[in-house]
Amino acid sequence: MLAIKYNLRSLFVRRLTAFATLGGVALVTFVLAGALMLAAGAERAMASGGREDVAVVLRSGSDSELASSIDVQALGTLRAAPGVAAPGGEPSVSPELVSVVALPKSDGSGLSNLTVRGVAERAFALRPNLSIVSGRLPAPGTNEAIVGRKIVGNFHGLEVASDGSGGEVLLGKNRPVRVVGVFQAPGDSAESELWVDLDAARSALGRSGLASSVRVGLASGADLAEFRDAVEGDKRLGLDVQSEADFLESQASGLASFIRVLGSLVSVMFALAAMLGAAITMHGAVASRAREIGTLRALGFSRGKILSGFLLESCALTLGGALLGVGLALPLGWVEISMMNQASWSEVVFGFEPSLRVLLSALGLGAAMGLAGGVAPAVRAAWLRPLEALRA
Amino acid sequence: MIGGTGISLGRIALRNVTRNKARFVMTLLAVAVSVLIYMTLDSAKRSWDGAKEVSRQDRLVTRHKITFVLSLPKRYVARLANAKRADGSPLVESVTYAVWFGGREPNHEHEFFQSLAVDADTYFDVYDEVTLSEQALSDFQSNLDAAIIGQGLARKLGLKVGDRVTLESPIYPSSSASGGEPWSFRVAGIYGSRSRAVDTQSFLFRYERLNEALAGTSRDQVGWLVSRTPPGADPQETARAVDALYADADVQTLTQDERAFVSGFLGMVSTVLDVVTLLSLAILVIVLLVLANAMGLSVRERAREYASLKALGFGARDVMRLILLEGVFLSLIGVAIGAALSMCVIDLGVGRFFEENLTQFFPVFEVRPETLAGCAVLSLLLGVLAAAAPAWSAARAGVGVALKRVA
Repeated sequence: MLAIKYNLRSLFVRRLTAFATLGGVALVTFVLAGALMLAAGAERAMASGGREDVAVVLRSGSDSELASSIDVQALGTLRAAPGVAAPGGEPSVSPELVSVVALPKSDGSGLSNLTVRGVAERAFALRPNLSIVSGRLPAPGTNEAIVGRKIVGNFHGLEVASDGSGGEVLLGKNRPVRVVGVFQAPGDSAESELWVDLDAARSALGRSGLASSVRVGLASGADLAEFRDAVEGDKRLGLDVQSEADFLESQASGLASFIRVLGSLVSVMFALAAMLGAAITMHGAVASRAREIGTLRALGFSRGKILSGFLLESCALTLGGALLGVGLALPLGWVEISMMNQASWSEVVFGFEPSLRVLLSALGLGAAMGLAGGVAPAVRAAWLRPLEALRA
Repeated sequence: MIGGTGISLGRIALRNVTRNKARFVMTLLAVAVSVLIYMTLDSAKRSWDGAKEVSRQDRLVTRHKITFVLSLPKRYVARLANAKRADGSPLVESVTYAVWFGGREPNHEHEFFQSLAVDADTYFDVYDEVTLSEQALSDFQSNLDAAIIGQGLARKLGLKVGDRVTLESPIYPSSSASGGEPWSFRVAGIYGSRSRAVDTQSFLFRYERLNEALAGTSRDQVGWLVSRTPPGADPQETARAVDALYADADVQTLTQDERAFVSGFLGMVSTVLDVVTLLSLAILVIVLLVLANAMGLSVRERAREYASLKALGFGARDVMRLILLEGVFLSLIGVAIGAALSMCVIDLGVGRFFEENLTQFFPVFEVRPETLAGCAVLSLLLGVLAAAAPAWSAARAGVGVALKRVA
C-alpha cells in the first residue's frame, strides 16, 4: 500500500477539480438521503404506533377504512367473540366512522381532503398513546371535536383559541362541529385527522347505523388468531381482521415505497453523472502524475499497491462527498411536509426521519461511485510502464 | 484572429476541447445523461401544465359538496337536465352520470384502470370525443351485461369484442360467497378517442346492472353528474348556477370543470411537481460541476501553454476568451448529444408510455420547442460558468510562475 497521505494530499493539490467532484457526489447523496429519510418519516408518522393487541375489523375485501362499511348489527357478534378484552365488564369494542371531507385550506390554496373520524368514548381507551396537548377532550354526544396536532391550522377553522373557544368546521349542511382540543398520537396517522362524536358524524354524513371499521381491544396479542378465526370464520359477517400494527403499516407502505422507489431511481441516475465526474477527476490525476507513478514503480511499489492507492484516493473523494451530502440532509429532520396519501385519499403530514440505514445507504452509494469511477484510471496508473512514464 | 496569424481563437478552442479524448468522451457522457434526465423532468412538468389546454372547459362535473365518498340522489340528474336559464334556454346542454366502481380484474391484479357504471343513453353524448361503432353502442344500450372498454385497456387485459370478463370491487362486493351473482360482463365494444382529453383506459358498464344489485339507501344513487355547458355560456358561471339548484336540498353539490375535478384526487401531484423542479435544479448543478471539473483539469494541464501564449505577446483577455470558448464548446456539444438522445427516448418510448397510461395527467408527453430552447440557453450559461474560475486564474497567472508550476 502506498502511504495514504500521498493520495489524500494529492486531492488537496487539485483543489478545484476535487471540490467539483465532491460537490456532485454530495448532491447525489443528498437526494438519496432525503428520499430515504422522507420514506422512513412517512412510515414512522403513520405506522409505528400500531399495537399488536388491538384488532382492526374491516369489511371483507376492503383495503382501507374509507372503502369499508360495517353494519352495527355485527357489533354484537364482535363483542361476544373470544379473546376480546373486557375491562370493567364492558367489551372493548369501538366502532369508528371514517370519511374525507373537502375543506378550504387556510393558506388559500383551495380545497383539500381532510380525514374525519367519528368515534365513541371507547376509542380513547384503545389508544393509550393519544393525549390532549391543548384544550380538552370533547364531551361525548355533543358536536365537539378535537384535531390532530399535525394539521392544526392547516385548514380553515381547525384551531383552538387561547380562551378555549374553538374554530368551527361544517361537516354537512347546518352541521357544524366545534374544535375544543388538539391531540397527539405519536406514530399514528390519526395525528392528521379531525375527530368528532360518532353519532354527530353519522348524522352529518348520512350514515346512520354504519361504521367504517371496528377496533377491538384484545386480552393480549396472542389472542388475535383466535379472534380472527372466530370472526372471519363466520361467513355471514363478511369481515376481515388484522392487528392494528399490520393495518397501519399497510396504509403507509404505498406512500413510503412510492417515495423510496422514486428517490432511489432518481439518485441512481444522478449517480451515473457524478460517477463520471469522479472518473474525470481521477483520470486527470493519473495523467498528470505519470512521472510520479513511474518513480514509485521504479522504487519497487507493485502494481497492486498503485491500484489500491488510486482506488483509495477515488473512494476518499466520493465518500467525503457522501458524508457532506448526508450532513446537509440531516437538518431536513426539522422540516415537515404535507402529502396526499392515495390509500386514504387525504392529506397526511410527516417529516424526514434520519436513521442509521439512511447513513449507510448514502455511504454505500458514495463508495460505489468512487469504486466505479476510479477503477479505470487506477488500472491505467497501475499498468503504466515505469520507463515510459519517467520519460513523459 | 490572434495577432494576424490567421488562426482564430475559435479553432484553437475547438481543438483544445477534443485534445484529451478520454476526458472529452467521459464529460460528454456525463452531460448527455444529465440532460436526458433534465429534459424528461422538464417535459413531464410541461405536459402536466399543458393538460389544461387539452381538457374540455365546457364539461362540468358535479359531486357531493362535502366528500367525494358520498353519492348524490339519482333524481338530481333529471333536475339538472330540466333546469332553465333566465332566458328560458336550458342551463346545460346534456347531462350524464357515473358511479366509481373501483373494479379490479383478478387475473391482472396489478393493472390499475378506472371502472365506471354509466348511463348507456347519455354517456357518449357528453363524451362525444369517444369513437364507438353504431353496432357496439346499440348492443350496449339494449343489453344489461354489456360493457364498453377502451382500446388501451383492451390491449392491457388482452380482451376482444365478445369476451367475458369478471371484475371484483372492494366497494361493491358481489357477495358471491353467499350465493350472489359475480360481476360478470360481456365486452360489447371497444372505444377509441379523438381527443387527448379522454383516455382509452376505462371500463364502462350499465348503471342499471349495478343499481339492481343494491338495496336500501345505496339504491338510486349516482357518484357524480357530468354536463356540458351550451356554446357561448361561461363555464364558471354555469357551475355556480348548477350548485345553486341544490343549495336548499339536503345534499349540496360542488361543480367544477373536468380538470379541477381530476386534480382534486391528486393533491400529491403538486408536491411531486415541486420536487421535480428541485431535482431539475440539482441535475443542472451536477452538470455544472462536471463541466467545471473537466475545464479545471484542462486548464491546469495547459497552464504552461497559456503562459507561453502570454510570453509570445497574447493578452490576458485572449487567454480568458480562449478558455471560455472551450467551456462553451464542450457544454454545447454535450447538451446537443443529450438533447438528441432525449428526443429519441422521449418521443419514441417514454412519452408514449405516459400518454397511454396516464392520459388524464400527461395528455401530450413530448419534447417541446420551449424545452429545447431552454436547454440551448442553459448550455451557453453552464459553459461560461464552468470555465469562469479556470479562465480567471489562467488569465491572472504570472508567466514565470506558470511556466515553472507542477502540472
